[in-house]
Amino acid sequence: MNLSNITDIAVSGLIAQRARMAATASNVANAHTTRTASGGVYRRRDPVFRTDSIGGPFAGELVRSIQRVQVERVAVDPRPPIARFDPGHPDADERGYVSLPRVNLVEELANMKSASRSYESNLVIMRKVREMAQAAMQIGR
Amino acid sequence: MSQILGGAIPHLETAMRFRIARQAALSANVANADTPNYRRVDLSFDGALAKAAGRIERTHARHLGAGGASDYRLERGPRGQRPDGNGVQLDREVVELTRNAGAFEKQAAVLTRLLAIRRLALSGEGR
Repeated sequence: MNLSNITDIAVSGLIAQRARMAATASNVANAHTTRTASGGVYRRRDPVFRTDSIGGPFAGELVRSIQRVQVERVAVDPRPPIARFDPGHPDADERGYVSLPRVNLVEELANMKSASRSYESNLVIMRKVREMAQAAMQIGR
Repeated sequence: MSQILGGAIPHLETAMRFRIARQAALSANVANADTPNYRRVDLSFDGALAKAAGRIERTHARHLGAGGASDYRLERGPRGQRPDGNGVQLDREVVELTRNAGAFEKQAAVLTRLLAIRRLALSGEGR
């Protein structure tokens, strides 16, 4: 275990949190999107995290227990879209209902806050690693 | 103590190795603060220093079993109360990280002074 392992772990956290922020931004931006490339209404995205070992196959139990984070996949919301009555909308069905993404702005903003707090905590680690490296560099001066 | 001031240096080295390993464990907790069902990990110093003190045959820092990661005891936290089962409290981890990095820096400072004193003794300028 050395200082560059710690940087790797913190970088994995920064990447994961940034993916979460990007997904949130996409959800907010597409809160009213009714047409997508794959057809149909936009569905909200949510990255799924999982742990990822930093050691190789011969690493000891301790090294295998200290894990970084990885975005496993981006989950697509399986819930049905919201049907809103709006006969004038170009994507309204024959009964006058439009399918709108099931995006809750309050939920997205809370998610964004949580992601940015986690992101900042990972930055604190990077700063601490730098301070530790500087202290180590002083040895022998 | 066979060497002047030198006896403390391997102990400090052991302590600093532990601080780095623990910093990695705490960093892993922060990185996984939003991973479902993640349980926090921590390392305890448990006997690592005592082992180092009792080891007189160590001739190289990289020899097997000398100050290696296996000297530390791994502790796993409980499952969290949050709906995603994550047991990490971010603020607590950041406080521990800061404290741990501070301990490392203190040990590095002491080591720096010890080496400076030894250099002074070797040069004979103190007379």
